[in-house]
Amino acid sequence: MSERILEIKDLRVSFDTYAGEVQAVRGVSLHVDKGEVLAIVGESGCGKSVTAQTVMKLNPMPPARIVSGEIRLGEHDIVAATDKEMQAIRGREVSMIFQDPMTCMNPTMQVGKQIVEAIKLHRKLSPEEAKAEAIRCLKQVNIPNPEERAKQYPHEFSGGMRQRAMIAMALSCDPKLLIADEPTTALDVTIQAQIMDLLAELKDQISTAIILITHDLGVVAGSADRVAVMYAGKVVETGSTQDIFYRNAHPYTQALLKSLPSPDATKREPLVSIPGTPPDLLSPPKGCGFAARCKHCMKICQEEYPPEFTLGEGHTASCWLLHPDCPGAAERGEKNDG
Amino acid sequence: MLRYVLKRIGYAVLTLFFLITIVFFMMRALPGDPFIGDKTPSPTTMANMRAKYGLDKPVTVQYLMYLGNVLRGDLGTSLTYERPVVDIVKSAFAVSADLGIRALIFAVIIGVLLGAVAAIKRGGPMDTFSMVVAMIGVSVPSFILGALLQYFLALKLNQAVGHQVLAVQGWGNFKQTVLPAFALGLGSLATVSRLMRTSMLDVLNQDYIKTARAKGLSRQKILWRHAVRNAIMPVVTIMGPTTAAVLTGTFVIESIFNIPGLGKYFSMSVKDLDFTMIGGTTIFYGALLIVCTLIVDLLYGFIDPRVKLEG
Repeated sequence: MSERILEIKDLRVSFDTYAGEVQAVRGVSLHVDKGEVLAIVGESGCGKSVTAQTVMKLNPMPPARIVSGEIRLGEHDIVAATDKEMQAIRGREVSMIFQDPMTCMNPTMQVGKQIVEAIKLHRKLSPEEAKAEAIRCLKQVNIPNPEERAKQYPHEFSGGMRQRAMIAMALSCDPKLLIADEPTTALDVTIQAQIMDLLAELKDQISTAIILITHDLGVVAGSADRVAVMYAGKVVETGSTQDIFYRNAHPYTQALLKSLPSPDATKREPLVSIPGTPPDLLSPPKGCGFAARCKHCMKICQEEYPPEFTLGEGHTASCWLLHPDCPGAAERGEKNDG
Repeated sequence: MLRYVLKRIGYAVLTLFFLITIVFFMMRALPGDPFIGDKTPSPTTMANMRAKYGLDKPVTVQYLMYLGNVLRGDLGTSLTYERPVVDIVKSAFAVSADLGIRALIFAVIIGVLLGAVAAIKRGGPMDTFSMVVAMIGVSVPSFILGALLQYFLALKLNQAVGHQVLAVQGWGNFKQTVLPAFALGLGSLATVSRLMRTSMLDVLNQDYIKTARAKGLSRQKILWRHAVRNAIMPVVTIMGPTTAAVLTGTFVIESIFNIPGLGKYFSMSVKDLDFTMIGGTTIFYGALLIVCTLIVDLLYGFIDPRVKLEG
């Protein structure tokens, strides 16, 4: 069952700016298996989008630079791949949908043509076959009247329809992996739900693995198999969706979950937020990135980055509180259980 | 679409009417007399001349007569050349249009390419080069550029090579068209290339360029299919004013290069107080600009599907 689609090992990505080297991704290891949905969560600037875009080498290089690490996509070595090899991989092996469907389609090209363009690039089809295939793709994402819709321009589509068309375009060449970079952030709530349902439905049909990048834990709970929580360019905790929601161990994960507004709160409680701001990645802290905002912070947290502790099968977290020598580690583990 | 065009034509007629009226009364307000040249003719000759051209009647009557004639397509007889203005405009504009179109094609094609390449190779030597060209084009007036070109590329170059490479002045063969077209077009080329560069930089940062990359398109295809087409929009918008700039630019260039075009007649007619010629050329240029702008607006709706032309 678990055929590995993507394996990222100790990836470090930096941006060279005038102010200095911004270490956006500081040693991320992830993997995605066939047909599963991995959610990467974290607040803005934690490196989740940079990690995902590096898989496709979509970050402009320079200023972006892969400092070290390994990315294997199927049999391809992404880090070593040339521009030309990447062109064959993009769209075919891995494709991506973006945050704002309003701006990510070419405004002067018919929607159908934009999909045909992708199909022609990776599949040996005649122009007529490619056109028919594009219409089939639009139908697959539940766009009514796909024949007519294909001839329309993006501005004639609503936001939700455009995101559907983007998904149709991304899946038109049967990629092994689909990266959805905050696919619902720019959409209103009902459309969000429709798009997430669509992704779930398609995933079952075509067995494409999905990396879902989001800061919306509600979306994660409904659709992800596994979750990686990122903070300040590192994965701080990873595990199954159950692990993250019910057996979480990292204070950042816990704080994130606490800041979720509860729909059944009757009292007029203020919304919970995490005080402080993430560290500046121009000069990242030498210890734990979350130390400055963590209420359990200890002396060692500011001096040395914690190692990864295994809490269960596939469930790991990097926090000094989990160290066996840390007083109360055992009870905390129990308390978070259930 | 049809409604839109009809409405625009209505506005055009109105604009022309105001243009004719203003020009007519401003001409009459100019000091001097068209029949007084180096020496003053006798009072009887003057009276006869005035009667012949209808200048003895009250100004309002003259104005109404003029309007009536213009409506019939008669722009009168030139006071200086004693030929119908329509004929002069016809023959002279052929030359001006030839020069203008050459300059415009040169300015737009080279300008778009230079601007696009500058944006793609941002910060590189091509970018610097295009910015230098743009700066020269914007800041050096065409008559200085024309004179410098004549001196170095025609006179000095021909002397150095020993035979004629480019002609200093005149009109008729290709050698004679190169320098005036270059001098006339460089200013517009500068404007076009700067605009194209800015617009291209903006487009290259758009999300749909990232989408195109994510599809696996090659760099060339992304640039030509997705970027240039969207980036060219602002250039199309300024094509109307650019055409105007090139056409008005011909006044000076035609004098420097001794080209028998309409611009020369236009500037001479003001000096000679040739009322009918001033009126005729102004109306002609006015109509030409209005038509150019209309064509550009229609073209815009064609290139950008988001633009709906509604009346």
